[in-house]
Amino acid sequence: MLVYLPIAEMAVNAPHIALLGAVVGVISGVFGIGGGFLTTPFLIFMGIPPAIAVGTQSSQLIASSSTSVISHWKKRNIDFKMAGIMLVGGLIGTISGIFIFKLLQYFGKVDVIISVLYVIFLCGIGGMMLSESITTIIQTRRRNLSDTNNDENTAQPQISKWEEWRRNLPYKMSFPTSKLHISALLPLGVGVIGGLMVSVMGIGAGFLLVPAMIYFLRVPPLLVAGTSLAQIMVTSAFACILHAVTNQTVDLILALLLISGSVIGAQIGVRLSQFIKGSSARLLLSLIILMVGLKLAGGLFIPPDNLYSIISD
Amino acid sequence: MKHFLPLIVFIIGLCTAYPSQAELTIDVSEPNLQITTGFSGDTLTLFGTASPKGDIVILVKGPKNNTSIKRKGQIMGLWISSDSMTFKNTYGYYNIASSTPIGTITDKQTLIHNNLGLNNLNIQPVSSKHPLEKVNRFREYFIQNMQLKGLYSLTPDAVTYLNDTLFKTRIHMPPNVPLGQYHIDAFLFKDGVLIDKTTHPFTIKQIGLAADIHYFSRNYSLLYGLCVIAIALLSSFIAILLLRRD
Repeated sequence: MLVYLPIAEMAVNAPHIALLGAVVGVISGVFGIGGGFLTTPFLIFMGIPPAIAVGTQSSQLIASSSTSVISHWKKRNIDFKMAGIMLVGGLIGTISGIFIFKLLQYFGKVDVIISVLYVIFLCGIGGMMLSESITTIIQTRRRNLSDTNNDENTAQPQISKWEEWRRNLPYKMSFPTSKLHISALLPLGVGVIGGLMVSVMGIGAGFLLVPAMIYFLRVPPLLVAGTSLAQIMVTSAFACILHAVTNQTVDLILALLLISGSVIGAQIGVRLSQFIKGSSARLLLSLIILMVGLKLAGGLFIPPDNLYSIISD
Repeated sequence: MKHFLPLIVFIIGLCTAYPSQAELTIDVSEPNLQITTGFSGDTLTLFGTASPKGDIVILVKGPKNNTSIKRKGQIMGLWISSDSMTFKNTYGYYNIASSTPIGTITDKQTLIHNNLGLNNLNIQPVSSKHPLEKVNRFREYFIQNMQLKGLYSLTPDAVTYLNDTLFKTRIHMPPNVPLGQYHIDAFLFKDGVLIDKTTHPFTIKQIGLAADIHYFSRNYSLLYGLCVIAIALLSSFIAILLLRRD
């Protein structure tokens, strides 16, 4: 069934778009990432102009993240204080990122720097998460088999310098929901870096926020998805307004199609997340991140079938 | 009236006595193509009369725009967009229907002069600094891409004569057809010579809900953005209510 998009000025296959929304919604609900990495390229593949794909995708993020946020909230799976501080950092990062981007543009060859950085970044994070989650899974399985308390694992062998530094940071704050007492600079810093990524690399921060919250802030795994999505929801609303006002690239009909699929997908995702163990969820997420990273790396190293592409008309 | 009768007879006689007095007229089934949210492409039917009977070429041209194309190249072993070109005033839609293949109708010079044929289009880059060989490669890609999207096409034998003077053809408009002002040019050739030419304006525009949304997004963009957010939030609430497990 074809539906005409008034802003994109073209007709699209409605069920395909809704299905795409649903798949992204499930992933977003389970892992707490936005899923823009899937939506945008698929929309462009379907022939929708890139600017409209990016602009409209923000409205879908609002819908899928808010659905998940409400569900996670009911289960008390959100640390609002943490999300708020990360959000402040995110805003600082986004705004300063715009200037950094301008600066990079001034020096030229921004594309090269950004693509290479992004590939290194995704593959690095994905690889680290993959090895960590595999080790955890093997360890728990071994522990279950031997059924003895292995002191080697529980006795933390390394209270490293990094741990020292982390503990000695000023502005300590307690996060009752996460049962953490850490410096406010940590979530703020994570937010700033996330915001920088968004404006410099132009791709969502979920990829960064989720691993950073797990390993860096040590937020309990159950709270990670909800807390990251709460932040994504607010950032997306901000982005949606910006795209609508400055570029007029938000297509209401396209948004409705995506949203209709993604709100249902997100509900399914949140329910699924209750059944997936923390380490398995991390394993799956690391595989997704690695796949995207390798796909981008492939684009850089493998000679493309078609050298030409149309930028604008 | 009596005085005029001989004059009328004389004029009619003149017309029939001199068949070289060529005449070509066309009309389309719909005066304008109106796009609603249900639009999924359309086919227009075009009728025309030609006297004397000759080779007909119907050219439908869409709105003009600049088009930028980039090309990837290998830099330090990485495939990165390294080159780009902007063509000025390219047609957003270009469709030729003819009674026989246009190459056999007339000479190349006449085709180029009338913008007929995909290889005879005047597609030039904005900047004149590009070498000719490069311009040709980019141009070739541009035309191929437009053909792939169904926006540029060339159909010989698409114009059929119903009798000695009346002909008809169908023009397909794909779902991604650009909006704006179109021109339908009709050419009548006899023995390779262009003997008559006519133009018919034509517009493609959105109406109804699609047009309202477009207008709202352009003129009240902040409110529009807020509405999109409200709709997004509302639909997630509805989804939760509907899918609630009690």
